Amino acid sequence: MTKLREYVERLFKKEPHQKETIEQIIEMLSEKVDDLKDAGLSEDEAVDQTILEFGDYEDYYIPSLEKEKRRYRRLKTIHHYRNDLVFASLATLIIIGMLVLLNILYIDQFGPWSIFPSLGLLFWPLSLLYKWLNRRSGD
Amino acid sequence: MAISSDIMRGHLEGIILKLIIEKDRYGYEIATTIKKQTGGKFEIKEATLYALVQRLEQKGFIRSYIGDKSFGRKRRYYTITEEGKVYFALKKAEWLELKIILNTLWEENHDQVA
Repeated sequence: MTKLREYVERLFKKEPHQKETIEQIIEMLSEKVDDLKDAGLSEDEAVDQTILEFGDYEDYYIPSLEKEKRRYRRLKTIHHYRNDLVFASLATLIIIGMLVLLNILYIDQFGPWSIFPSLGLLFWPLSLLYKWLNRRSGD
Repeated sequence: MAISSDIMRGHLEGIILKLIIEKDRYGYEIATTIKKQTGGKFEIKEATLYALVQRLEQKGFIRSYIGDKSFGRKRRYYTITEEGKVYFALKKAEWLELKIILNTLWEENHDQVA
């Protein structure tokens, strides 16, 4: 039965599945293995046939979960955008911090010059924030 | 000729419900019954079947319980709920209508005058 378990777990590795779902599938497949054994097959043969006939990942998704799959994909991109945003914000903070520090250490006739590059830099996280919010409210 | 799963897709939920209404069945039994009843002309992929069964259960159209059959082996049986019966009736009505429509469209017919 461990072979069956390994097979199912590998098959569903691609997407985050609830453990419960996988357990249910394994349970149903074990019932089939039992039936096949009753019909005279050996344990190994029964497991092999069950795996062979199960179909693949696409068969599991096609009928029911198209919508959920799409939602999941969208979630992934939102997640992506959020990561981008976090990265951009941190990077911007660090760079602005350095600029301000430089500005303080070397005050010259230009005054608080660090404001100008900082403003420009701010558009990086801002544009990502805009994208992220747009994505999130979409659909 | 094997029927492509594309064509069957929209009907599978109803068909599974029908089989469960007939009597409580376990997962693999549904697959074998479909194969048997169609004389092997249509075989449902088990991956597809289990996905649908799980979804029907999530929606509350069927319920499961552990029952045991011969040899003392435990099996998870599925049984219909009241909501499931209603949903099945809807699906069935839909099918009856679709049958008429497809018949009309597929068969040769002299343009009907309304």
